[in-house]
Amino acid sequence: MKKLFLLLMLSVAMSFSMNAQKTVSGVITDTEGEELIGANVLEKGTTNGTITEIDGSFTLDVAADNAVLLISYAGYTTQEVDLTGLTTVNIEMAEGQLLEEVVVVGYSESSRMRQVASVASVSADALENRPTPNVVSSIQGQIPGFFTTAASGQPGSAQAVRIRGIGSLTQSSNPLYVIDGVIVATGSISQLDSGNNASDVLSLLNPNDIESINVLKDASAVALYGSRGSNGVVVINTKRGKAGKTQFTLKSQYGITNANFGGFEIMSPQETWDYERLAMTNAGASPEALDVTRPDTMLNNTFDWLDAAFQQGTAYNIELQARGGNEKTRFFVSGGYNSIEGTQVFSDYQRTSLRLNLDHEINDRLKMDLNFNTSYAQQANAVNGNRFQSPMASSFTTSPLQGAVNPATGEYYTGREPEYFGLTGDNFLYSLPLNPVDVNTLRILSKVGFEYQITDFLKFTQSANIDLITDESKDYDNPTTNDGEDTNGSLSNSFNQNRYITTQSFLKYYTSFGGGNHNLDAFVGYEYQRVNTKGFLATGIGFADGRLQTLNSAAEPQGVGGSISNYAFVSYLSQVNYDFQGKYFFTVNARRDGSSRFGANNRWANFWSVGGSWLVSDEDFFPESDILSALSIKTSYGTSGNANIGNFPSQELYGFGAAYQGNPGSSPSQISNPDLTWESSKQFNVGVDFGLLNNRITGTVEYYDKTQFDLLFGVPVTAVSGFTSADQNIGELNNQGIELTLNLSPIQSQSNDGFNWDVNFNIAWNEAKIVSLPNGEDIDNGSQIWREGENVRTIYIQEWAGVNPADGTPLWYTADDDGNRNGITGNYDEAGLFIVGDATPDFTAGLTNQFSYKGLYASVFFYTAQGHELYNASLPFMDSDATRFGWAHTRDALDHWKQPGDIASRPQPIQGGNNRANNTSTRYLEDGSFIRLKQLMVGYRVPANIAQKLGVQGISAYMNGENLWTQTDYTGLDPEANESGSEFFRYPVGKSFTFGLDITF
Amino acid sequence: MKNLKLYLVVFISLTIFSCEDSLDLTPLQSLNTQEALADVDGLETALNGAYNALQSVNYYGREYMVLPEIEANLVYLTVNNSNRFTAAYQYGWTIANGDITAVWNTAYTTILRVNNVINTIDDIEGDQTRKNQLKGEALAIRALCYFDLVRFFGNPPTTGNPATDLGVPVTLVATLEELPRNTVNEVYDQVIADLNAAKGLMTGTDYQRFTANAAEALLARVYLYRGNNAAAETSASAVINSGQYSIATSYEAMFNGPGSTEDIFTILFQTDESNGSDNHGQIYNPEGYGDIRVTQDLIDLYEAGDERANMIYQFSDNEFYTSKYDSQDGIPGLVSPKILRLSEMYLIRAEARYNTGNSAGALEDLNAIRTARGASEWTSISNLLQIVEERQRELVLEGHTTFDLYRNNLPMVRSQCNTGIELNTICFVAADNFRTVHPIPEDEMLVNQQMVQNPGY
Repeated sequence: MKKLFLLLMLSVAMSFSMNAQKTVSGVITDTEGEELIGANVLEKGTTNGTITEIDGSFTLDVAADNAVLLISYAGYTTQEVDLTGLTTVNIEMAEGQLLEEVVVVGYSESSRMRQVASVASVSADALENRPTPNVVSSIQGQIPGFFTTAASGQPGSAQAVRIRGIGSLTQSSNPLYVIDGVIVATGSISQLDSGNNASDVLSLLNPNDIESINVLKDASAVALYGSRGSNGVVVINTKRGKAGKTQFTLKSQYGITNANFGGFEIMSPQETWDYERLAMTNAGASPEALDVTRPDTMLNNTFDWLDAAFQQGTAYNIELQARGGNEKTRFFVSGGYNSIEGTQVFSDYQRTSLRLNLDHEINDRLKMDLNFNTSYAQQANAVNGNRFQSPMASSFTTSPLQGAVNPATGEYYTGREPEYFGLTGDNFLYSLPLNPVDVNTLRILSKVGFEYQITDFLKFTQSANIDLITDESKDYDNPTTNDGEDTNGSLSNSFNQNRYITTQSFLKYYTSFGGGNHNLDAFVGYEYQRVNTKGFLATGIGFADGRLQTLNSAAEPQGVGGSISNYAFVSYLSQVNYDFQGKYFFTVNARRDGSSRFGANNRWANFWSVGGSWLVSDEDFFPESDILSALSIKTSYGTSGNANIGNFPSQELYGFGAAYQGNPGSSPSQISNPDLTWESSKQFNVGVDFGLLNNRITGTVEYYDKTQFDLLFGVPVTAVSGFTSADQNIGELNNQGIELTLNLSPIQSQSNDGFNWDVNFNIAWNEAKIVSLPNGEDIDNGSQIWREGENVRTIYIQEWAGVNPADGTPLWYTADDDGNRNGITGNYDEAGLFIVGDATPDFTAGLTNQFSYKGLYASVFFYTAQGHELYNASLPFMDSDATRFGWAHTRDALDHWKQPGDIASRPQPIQGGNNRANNTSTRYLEDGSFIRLKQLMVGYRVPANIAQKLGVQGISAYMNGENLWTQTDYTGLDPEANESGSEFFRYPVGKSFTFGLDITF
Repeated sequence: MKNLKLYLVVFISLTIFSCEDSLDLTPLQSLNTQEALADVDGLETALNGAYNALQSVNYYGREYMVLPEIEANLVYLTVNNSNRFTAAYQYGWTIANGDITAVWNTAYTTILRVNNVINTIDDIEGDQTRKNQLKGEALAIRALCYFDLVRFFGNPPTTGNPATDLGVPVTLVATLEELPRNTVNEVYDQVIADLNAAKGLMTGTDYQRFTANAAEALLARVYLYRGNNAAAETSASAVINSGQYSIATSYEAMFNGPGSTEDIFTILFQTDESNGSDNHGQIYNPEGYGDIRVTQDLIDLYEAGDERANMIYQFSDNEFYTSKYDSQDGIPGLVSPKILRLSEMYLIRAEARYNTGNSAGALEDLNAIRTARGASEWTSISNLLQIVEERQRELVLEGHTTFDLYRNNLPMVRSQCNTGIELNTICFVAADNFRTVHPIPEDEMLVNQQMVQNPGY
């Protein structure tokens, strides 16, 4: 095969060399007559091309008299010029339309109209100047089928991303991330990260360095990523230099953030006192007992815990970018400092990032490029989870009747005092400043590439990439705090390093024959990626003084752990694109992946896709019409995989790490399954790209049907075996959906200074259903159930039947064997389980309106997710009918049953609880739908003549608000909760206002 | 031609990179089973893994020590609890109960670890004495696990019909096969066989691991539970007469840590094995969860001068706590649980002697304990309850209480019950109540088609 291919290439080369040559020249300008520097001028069907110089001029030798020139410039419509009989061409470039954008999809690039695959793009406009260090959150709502939620408001924390639904049941559903063509690390690597992936290495990428983000969704797009593509791919391209005068941009930004508590409100101290006394009375306590447990002196030392745990966060960002170069060498340089103080006390994030992207043409045939990015982030991590000192739950649940300051000493309670009745025996106001959790991450992401033009139609590229992430973290527990007292102070230091080394070799081939009617481009490539992760963790205990925070000052070494893990991928990949007359397009992709992760019986995996598109509006029969001005139909089918299956999942293993008497111990950790392998997916996609009213309206509609199969399951086994489950490739899942994107220009002014209004609207429906499970049996997933034929996130809990008006006790429905209601019970044990909804939105949509008039511009962006349930898991603790006596209670809890005959929403509060009324049931299940004003931006660009008088090229100032308004029926903190469908006390994402100034000179 | 050379270079470079060897990576933190168990050192390491499983919070690290206590009357669960052990205190568990499932899973996890050692060791070259010791320990651990399972999930042989009552599935090999439950008798037979084999193999004397004496001591307990009083007396006497142990002079000091003169088998917890708030003692200590407190029932058991009552103290909330598991090595709530100790041997022998009509011998054994603890000497034994109560005084919080009641057909009676400071619960459980035997966990019922649930659930 390879020989045949070579022969084909050679023969095509021969046919070319027989053609005549001529030289063309000209000037490229925009509609205003301004010369465009660095516009691409390319002989169609070849790689022969140049870029325009500082005065917009170019000169190019072309192979034939009838050659066709392709002239492109970012943001402008690409033009084709037939050179027959011409030697001078002066071109005026029009502002671009979406349909003609150039789309970089990782291993290759093409214009959108030629694009067979389903790829959605986000440009720098939508990403720049947003107040979050993690670029992923800025993609939300910009493109359909990209669903992301933030579990935490911790600055720098990770976002969960789901592309076209949930891709896996037991393994990761997160997409693959590719930066400048290379698969990179994501997530948190720290061993001391306090849960919820609070630090994400993706936050180390400065969003303002990004030129564009493309999200690959269908099989045609992801097949080239083979065994790692099935959850979708996020392709991030950073900015590159442009020939011309060096342009400096100074960006500065300052913002404030306030925690968003949504509908959450707790009782005042007086209300809490009254409520708890009532609950005691209802439990049969005597008036004397009331005065002992809840004396009125308690009202003298009350406290607002939430107010103390959350503050107004601040964020500032300052950076300098320089972009310039000449014909031979172009560069983009940036340096930035971003500092964010979180809304929760003692949480912050600081990032310093430097970047150099360099392109150099060594000679006509040889080019090189270099990306060099170093970022360092320091994060004070909000302490999460099961730590005593965590304010996450304490700030919400500690009773307002519990003061923060001990009146006897005038100091903060430590929380260990016997009379202190906070949630955990710890006062976070005392302990948090003493017990820092710091995560410091350094990332060096660099790439060097060479491109050698072997012949006019064949080039070879070779690149090497290193993604080196080191993390150094510290977790200290002061001996005087509850977390530290058991050990007399404890310190853990960890150091981790993740190293991704990737080499890529590509042979790329282009040709055009049959008088330009047939265009073919293709590549074969080889990619090798090896990932090494290693780290160690050391803990010491016994500190004489809380100020001593090094392991050297620990009295006693407590534990040392280290880990090393490796995996490797070897891949061969190929793509062939063919088009006829620029109307019919065909693409075939193939990738063969070998991985150390796959079982010995399945070491190599093949993935492929085929796709085609038809530019209907270019057909002669297509009526020349202003109404339907462009139309293209595309479809694709193919396979991909999910190799997020752990590093050695197939081997029968003994794990080490257990110990007895200080000697090492071992234990069976894994059951052998040499057949175990990647999860697979197959996907069908069909779509229509269209332009209406002379492309005033453009859009895309797509339908997809994606089946993930061979899903890994820990299939339950008899515990008598010593294991409770064994992994097998057994499940199947299906996602189907429709995605629509519309871009409208309702008001389009002739000049740039006029009033312009652009609208971008996108909406995505997705339905995720489980097709098959091990033995067809239901799997209990906490308050959710996995059942064949049901939604992936089906909520399966007891159903609340209200309050018995006679005695104020709770009622639930009972179920028959078919899961239908057949009665009411007051005994929770008899309550039936029902399917009561699901946690995946029926649809998500984003609507962006952009306005501009002279220098003023504004953008309003709404985002919505509709049709899903959210379990408010905080309420069983805070609206518990006094089951949780001595905690804070939500104000809503005041509305309860009081006397016989009351039709009440809550049972009678009784100290210790009312018949387990706060157990899991639909009582706490709420509609999670919401509409949110995600972003409101208003800016002013100072007119060029005024700016020039000030000695600069341009000034723009803007104000950006995020999460300003939300419409929802949900009563918890924030309906944008964890995508799993439950919200438990957490660090909520805030409302922010940012002011910024960009100066270009 | 020049181009051809280039193609050559390109394709050569492609093939150079494609070294498929790079895909044969092996884990650096784990070994495959054959490698892990290839020599005696590997087997010792695997056996340490079994001891490590005994340390689990789900087993002797807490749950299995606490459940027989919280289901009895000597302690109570405060109304202000952290939601731990509520079902056990209320006898309200479902078949999905986490504590019960954890005991089942952890015991069988331990059994797998020792089965692999027992079934490999005879094929391994090495010092025979050392191999015997390791095999003996493994057999004894297996016996302990099956005994713990059968007394938790099956009817006591002394009150039920052990020839037909269902015990737990017994497997002596690693298998994924779904096994049916063996009868109570079959499980006891296996336990006794393993212990008899074990005690003949072991020569070690480390009280932190199983020894021949420890196997004999466990055998004494197993015979007593089975109603084989003569054998129980013989085994208990063998341990008592071994001369290795003596009754501790200070009861309080004995619980400061491992290594008293009484310790026959103690599971060592080193300071670096602290589980923090999940340390066994923290469920009792007011500075920890402090959920479980001492009842008047226990306080009333002690007479003035009984040293064992000194462990009971009143905290600032005027409720009573025990300092038995206060701390070890300065770490709050850290406990190295004493699985077998000498006083229990006296108590076993007393009970066995009483049951065989030797009241005088029983009295002698009880008084040996009572005098050492500062309690008055008894002159006669009027009934079995008297012996059971002496066991309670001595062994409270050591994981015996409900077993001792129900196997002797005695009801569990909570005199301090539902007064307002305890979680609401039932105050009387007859020995024939189905809830005196725990349910087979739901997970096992679902996956194992051979499994039969206990009556009542």
